[in-house]
Amino acid sequence: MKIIFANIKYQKFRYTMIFMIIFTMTLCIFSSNMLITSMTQGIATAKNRLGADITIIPKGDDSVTEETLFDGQPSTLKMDSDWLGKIKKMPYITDITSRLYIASLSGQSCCDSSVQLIATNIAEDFLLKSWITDDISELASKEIIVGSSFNAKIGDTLKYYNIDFTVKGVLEKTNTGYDKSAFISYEAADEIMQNPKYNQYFKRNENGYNTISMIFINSSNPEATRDVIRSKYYYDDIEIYSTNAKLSDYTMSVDSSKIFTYALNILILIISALSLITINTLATSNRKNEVGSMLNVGFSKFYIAMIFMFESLLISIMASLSAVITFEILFTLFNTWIGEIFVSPMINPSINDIMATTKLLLILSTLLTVMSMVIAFAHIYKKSPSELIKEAS
Amino acid sequence: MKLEVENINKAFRSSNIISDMSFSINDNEYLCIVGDSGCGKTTLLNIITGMLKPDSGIIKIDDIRVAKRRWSKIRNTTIGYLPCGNSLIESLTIYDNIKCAAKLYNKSDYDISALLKELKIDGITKAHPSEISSGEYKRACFARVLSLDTNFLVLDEPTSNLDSNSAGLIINILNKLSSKKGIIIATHDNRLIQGKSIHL
Repeated sequence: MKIIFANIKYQKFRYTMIFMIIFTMTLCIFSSNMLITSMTQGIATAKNRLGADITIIPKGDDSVTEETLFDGQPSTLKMDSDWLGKIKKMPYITDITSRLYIASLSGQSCCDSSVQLIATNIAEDFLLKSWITDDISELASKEIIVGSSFNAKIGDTLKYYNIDFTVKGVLEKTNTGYDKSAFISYEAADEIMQNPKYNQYFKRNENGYNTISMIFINSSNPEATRDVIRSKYYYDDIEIYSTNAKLSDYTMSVDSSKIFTYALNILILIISALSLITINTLATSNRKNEVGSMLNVGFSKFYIAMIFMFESLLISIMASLSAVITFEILFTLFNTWIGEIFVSPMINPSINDIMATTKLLLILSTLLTVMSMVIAFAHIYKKSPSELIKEAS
Repeated sequence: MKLEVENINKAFRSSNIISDMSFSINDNEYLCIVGDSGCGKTTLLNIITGMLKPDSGIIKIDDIRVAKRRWSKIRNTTIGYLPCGNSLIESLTIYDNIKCAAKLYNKSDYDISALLKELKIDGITKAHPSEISSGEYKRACFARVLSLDTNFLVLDEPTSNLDSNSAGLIINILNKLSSKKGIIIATHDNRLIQGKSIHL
């Protein structure tokens, strides 16, 4: 071991170069894999949890809906609540619920930005049921259920639109926009809308405030239900789409990214392999005298090859682990920014994913190192010890 | 212990350097190999120590032919070799160079400090090979081969590039060892040419 550490210390430049190559390779492959994996998993999670077969939104607002659902961007979507009664009459509907999305004017408890307030009828909201860990069947006007990103626990008080809400429940982590959303009752939403300070943002008809943002539907025959709604209300101000179809767009986008990422990873791998082979071959060639000297005092060629191999492997493992740690630090510091760049909040790699990818990259960098060292050492392996000393002297 | 060289032949680019050479040496004998530069002295020493494969012929130790795979251990335990060229590991200090060679086959009881003192290189033990003079380098190589405490010493021009004082130190040590070890020396130094010799 002493020789290994002494050699590494003595050959700083060479090993810095090897470190940088492995570090860069690992960081690139690790980052891209983590981003793709977590985006894919985020979509799968969203698919499972959104649950609704059909979503109805105000016309022209589908991009806002997308941002609200997937990106967690606060927004205020508006349509008449009368639509809930009309849609309820459509065939094959098994579950139906409406929600009102209100962007809070100031976030006081989560993050630095504003949060998404969602008014809902807890008893009817079939989408919310699978996320609530506590048994909550109704929500009073001053009660709130918050997403997992909130720094709040049950019993805490949060203030939105000048109203103090008591936290009644905290949702499980969903890896969707709901992590940054808070759910209130329609009564609380009415109170907000009646406040002269804010009512300019909301629509009022002769029956009072009747605003909702979306209608979610489960149907025993989603295609038929969608077609009936579409044909009946084709010229009205609503948009009908299948949630899964919308997610499919995301999936396709991630799939294309995957192909590009894998191609790029293979290219990085090839460039790294060639660089390592070149550096190790040149370095080993320059170490002929060292090899000859060691053979001269009784080291076997195999023993020397193992010393050289362990030197490179040690650097390779250190570089791989440093890259993973660097990724984790950068990812923790710039999570939001990275999410914005990739237009997705679904970047949240799990420990298992990190461990699996780290293991894979360690194996990969080890194989690369071993392969490059075998190629490098093969150049001098057949030479006699006397040739090695003579050539270097 | 007896070292035998039998019918060794070696040619480079169809020019015969060593032709059918045979001799033997016991582990208390002194043998000088002398000859002009380029006559094949170093080649012969390389063959004797397994550093170079002969075209034909064999090396025997106590009547047993040395197999190819045994040469590494033999160079550490039976035939210590001081080559003419640079032979210290650059990344290690002088002390570590000597120690790691001796420790390879667990010979750690050799008194390295006394040896370094005798060769007057005890002040450079923490230096790296690139930081010392060529004379000190030669003595460090000599110290390393002695620390192996082998039955035979094969030395290629051990006093070349040394001033007379430094060369004298090596000659004194060799004189002391000549009755305890088999010593084969290739040299041009008249002070080392004594006893049995082979002219190439």
